[in-house]
Amino acid sequence: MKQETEKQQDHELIRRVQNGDMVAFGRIMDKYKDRLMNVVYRMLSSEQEAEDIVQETFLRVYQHRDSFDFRHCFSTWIYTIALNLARNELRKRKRFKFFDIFDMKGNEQEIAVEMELPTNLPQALEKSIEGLPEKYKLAFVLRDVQELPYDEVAKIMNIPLGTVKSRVNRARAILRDKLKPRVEESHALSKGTLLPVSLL
Amino acid sequence: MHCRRVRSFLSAYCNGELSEKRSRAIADHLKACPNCRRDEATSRELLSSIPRMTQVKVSADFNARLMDRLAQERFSETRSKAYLPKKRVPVVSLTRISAVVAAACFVFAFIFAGGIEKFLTPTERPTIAETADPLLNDDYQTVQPQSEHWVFKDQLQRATRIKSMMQRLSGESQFNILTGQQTGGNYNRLWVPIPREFFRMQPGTFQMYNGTMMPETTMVREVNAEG
Repeated sequence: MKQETEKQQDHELIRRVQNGDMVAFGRIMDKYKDRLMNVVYRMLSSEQEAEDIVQETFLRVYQHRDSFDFRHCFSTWIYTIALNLARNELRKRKRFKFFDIFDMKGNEQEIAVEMELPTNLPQALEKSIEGLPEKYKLAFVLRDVQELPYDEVAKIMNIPLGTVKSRVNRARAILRDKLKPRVEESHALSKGTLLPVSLL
Repeated sequence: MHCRRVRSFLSAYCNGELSEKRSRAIADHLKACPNCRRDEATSRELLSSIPRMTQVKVSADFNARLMDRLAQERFSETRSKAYLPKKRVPVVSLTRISAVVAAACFVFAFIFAGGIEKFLTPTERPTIAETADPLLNDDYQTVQPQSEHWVFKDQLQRATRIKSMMQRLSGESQFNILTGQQTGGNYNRLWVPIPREFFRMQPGTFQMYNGTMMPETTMVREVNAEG
């Protein structure tokens, strides 16, 4: 119900933009800029590039406003544009291998001094998400981070619904396996158990 | 339910995405399995961490920059829709037509003015030194021009040369000498490359020398009685 209302609101806004109403376009910008920024940033891991992509997305939306098909959701359309631009950017630049801090060996003491306590799960989760394979990462970010419905994720990614569920499930399992030791350590610390630095 | 199967449904169970029947089955399993309970705790912990992740936002001047770009976009749209004539790209440009007409005029003027012969002084005429080449034999052909209007698609220059030469030869007092055998004497030979196809189409009265040195051409032997 809420989804349907939001869809209608978006359609009304884009209809007004088609008629030249820039105030309506401003409202679309305010609604979607941070959402798009969050998703694109998770894909590119660069704030500057993510912001450029989001700017370009809105520009494209404006340029092609007359070609919007009202049979579809506006949010699906704008997310698709943004992610296509992000994918193009990923193809263009070389991706550096992300150094997984969990695999570091040798300087445990140094790491323990620099990094925060293991109870900072959100940061650990962010880093783990960055390391996910792209197809799982995108499905996870759209579904669990952006909280989009499964069917919308399927339309954005242009894959079957079952495939979306499978990828999201797989991403969650990977993250759980990766962060399980960290979660258990944080539970142990919270219970007052001391752990040597080398285990961090 | 086996632990492996339960673990595959755990994240969906924690997100409330399972049917009631399946959720009950998993809940029953979790009551009895501490390992799966630990996994469930991890899943729930991760789920609760997602909203606590850094929410990346656009910069403060994002709107201003985007509106600038949009203003430019709208300006260019307005300009194209305004009463500004669009630049029409002509199918055939005037410049090109002028160049073609000028070239055609030059060619026709060149032909009617007498061709290259007009521009050659006697000293400029190519001369070939006498040769004792045994391949030069007296294998002559006679050809009869049917028309003064030569038609060479890509060898117009050669045709003009032949035509002017024929005119000179026909008025040459020693033309009759050419019709017979001649030996000795100093003479200049003007080598004119003429395609063989031409002579198949346009036989002429002047004598042509089929030189084996130039198998694709024939040469006109011009006799200037000197000495």
